[in-house]
Amino acid sequence: MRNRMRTIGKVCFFAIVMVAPALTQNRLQSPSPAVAGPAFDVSVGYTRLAMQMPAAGRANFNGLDFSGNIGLGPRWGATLDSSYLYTPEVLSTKHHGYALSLLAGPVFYPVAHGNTRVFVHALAGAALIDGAVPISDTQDFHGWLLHPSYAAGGGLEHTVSAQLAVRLGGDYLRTSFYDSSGAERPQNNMRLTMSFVFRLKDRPHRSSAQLQ
Amino acid sequence: MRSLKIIVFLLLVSSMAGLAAENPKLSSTLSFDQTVDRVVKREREFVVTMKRMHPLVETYIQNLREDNDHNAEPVSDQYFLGRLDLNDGVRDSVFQKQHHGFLHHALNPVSAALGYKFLPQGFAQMVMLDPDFQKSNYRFTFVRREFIGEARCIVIDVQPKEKAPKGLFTGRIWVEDRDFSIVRFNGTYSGRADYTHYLHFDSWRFNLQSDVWLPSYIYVEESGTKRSSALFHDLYLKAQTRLWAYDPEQLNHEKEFTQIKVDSSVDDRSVAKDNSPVESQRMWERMAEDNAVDHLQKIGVLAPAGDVDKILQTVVDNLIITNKLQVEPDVRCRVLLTLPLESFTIGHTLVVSRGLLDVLPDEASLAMVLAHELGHIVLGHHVDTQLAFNDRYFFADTTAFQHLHFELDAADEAAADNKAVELLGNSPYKDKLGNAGLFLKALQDRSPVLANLISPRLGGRMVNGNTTRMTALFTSAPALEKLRLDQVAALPIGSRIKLDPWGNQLTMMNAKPVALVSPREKMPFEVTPLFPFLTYSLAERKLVAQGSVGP
Repeated sequence: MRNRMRTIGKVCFFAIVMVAPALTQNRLQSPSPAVAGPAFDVSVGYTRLAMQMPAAGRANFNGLDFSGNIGLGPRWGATLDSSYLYTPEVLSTKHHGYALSLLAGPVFYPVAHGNTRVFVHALAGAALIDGAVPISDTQDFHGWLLHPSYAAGGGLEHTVSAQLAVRLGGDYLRTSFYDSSGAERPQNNMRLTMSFVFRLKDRPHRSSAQLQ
Repeated sequence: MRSLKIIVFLLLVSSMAGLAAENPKLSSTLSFDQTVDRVVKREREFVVTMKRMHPLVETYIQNLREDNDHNAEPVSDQYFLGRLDLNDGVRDSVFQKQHHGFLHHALNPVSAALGYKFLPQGFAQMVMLDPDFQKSNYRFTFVRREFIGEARCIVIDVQPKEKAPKGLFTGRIWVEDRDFSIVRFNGTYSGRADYTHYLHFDSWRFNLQSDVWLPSYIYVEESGTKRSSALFHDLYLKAQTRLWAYDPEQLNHEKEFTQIKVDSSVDDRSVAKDNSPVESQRMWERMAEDNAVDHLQKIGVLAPAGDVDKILQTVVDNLIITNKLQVEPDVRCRVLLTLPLESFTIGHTLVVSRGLLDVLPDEASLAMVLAHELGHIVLGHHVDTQLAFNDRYFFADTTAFQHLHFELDAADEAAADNKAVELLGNSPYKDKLGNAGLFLKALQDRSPVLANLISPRLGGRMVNGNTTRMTALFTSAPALEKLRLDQVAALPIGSRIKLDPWGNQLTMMNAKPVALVSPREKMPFEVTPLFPFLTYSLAERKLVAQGSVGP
């Protein structure tokens, strides 16, 4: 897992370092805009979480993700993300489980091409995990834990019309839960999200007419 | 029979000529393609020329909101004045009245983060069609020929090609067919980003020097789809950008230095040449006044003495003569070239802003403004004599509004108001002051939403909260009736004064009076589009005249 974290860190670092000169060049060539202003959007979508139960394997959760986003600069924004995920049975414990997270943080858009842009985000907040851990074939431990949480990841956002976009993202989500001895342990989870984005202020959609 | 043949022949010839005019083959020698080559070459030369120019750029923006009757009214405004520099991209060093520090921004994080921010350099950018204009990036389509004023123009639609880079101009250009200079372009820049916006604009260039057409006026308009929504409403605005002070001689007096002529000295020993203390004091104050006036003119914010000053002087003379005033030294009038509505005195010089002259509805209203300032002079409110020292002017142009202040305190303003009422009461304007009071009412009515328009840069405020200047006229004026067509309390911006962007000379506009057909057309204090009558500069005209008499 440490290697995976390092890889994600390197990817983010290179994305920022390599893209910065390109952005600077682009800014020199493009005319100065006359207006800068925030862009708001909200999104709702499906999310899937592969949750690591400490010393017991991975459990798959499915659920909904809601987020609100505000653009604070040409390449920067802030997001508030909340997701609710559920599984009817955690591993083989006969217990249902759910994860509720509320995270916020900055979003960076390193690359935009046509109607598609890449985003990278780093979020922090809290997550409530309700789950179970098998102790033996017949016994398990179940409970809930509210603990600070963070996430880092990115994805693609494709603008379909002036007010609608589709966002596909994945991130590493760090939460905490108990192990079979009842001790709090960190969880390294992978989360995939596909959502529809509704823009509250129009994002200019580059139509084919403009391209002619 | 012969006359019939002649008529048929003439008809054929004239129809052929008509067809030729519609044909994209634009002149007898140049094809449309060759014409475009000339336009591109000329525009690239223009970019080089513009990099040497450092005019003042003034942008005034009015944000609009639609009411329930679909009438658009300003809800807020924004103002920038700066000096343009195109040498390293578009830069616009802004003249600021106050410098907002970190604390200001830190205390307004929400409004800063959630509101639209207007960028002065983005408006200044609209002087350029494309800093790297290349034929290969665009598709050109001939539209028609038309005259704009004296200039016969070829109208061409310009669109970026599919593979062209972002940020290229898309719209229509008007090219005068003498030198193939672009004199007007109308459209926007393509390929906008998510957070930043390019606006639609109509950019005009005037022939300011022989064969040089320079940007002079830009009208910007953007109308969003959610015009009346209080939350998340789109950009819905009108704006104008004016450029002036192109003439580099305005900024340095080297030309005067090279033209110095030493007159022969005159022996006047018989005439009294010593100055009494009173005369010396007056001279000292006049020197402070002259220094300030000269500096403001040098940095391009005060118009040189001209025709409009004479009109103001006539009104002032009417007030002085009918009140039997003895004013020493004599009173002078000058015009501040900026838009914000203000008037003030620098010693015995009355200064009125171009914006204020534009919106005043009649001569009596002008007399009201000038009477107030004359009141200061009659009451002996003198200039700050620190301005007699020239080192006081050693500061950057952009900080001029921070270093020069001509506002007076509230007691002096109130005293000048009272004096002005007295002066007006003895003047030929005494029976026509109803409109002057109405103007004040209209000004107060719009003052909450047009805060930047009524914020003076150098003088005192005309409206302060619920109080206006000349309260006596305000209270005695009839009620403001916005729907009455025959009650025009204030004019739109740009109604009266024409500005020569090269030498900063002002003249009165020569527009015919137009009968209003709806209250919407009253547009008090509002930005409106401009359709200038383009003319060739005098030097250019001379050149043409010389050419026409050749063999």
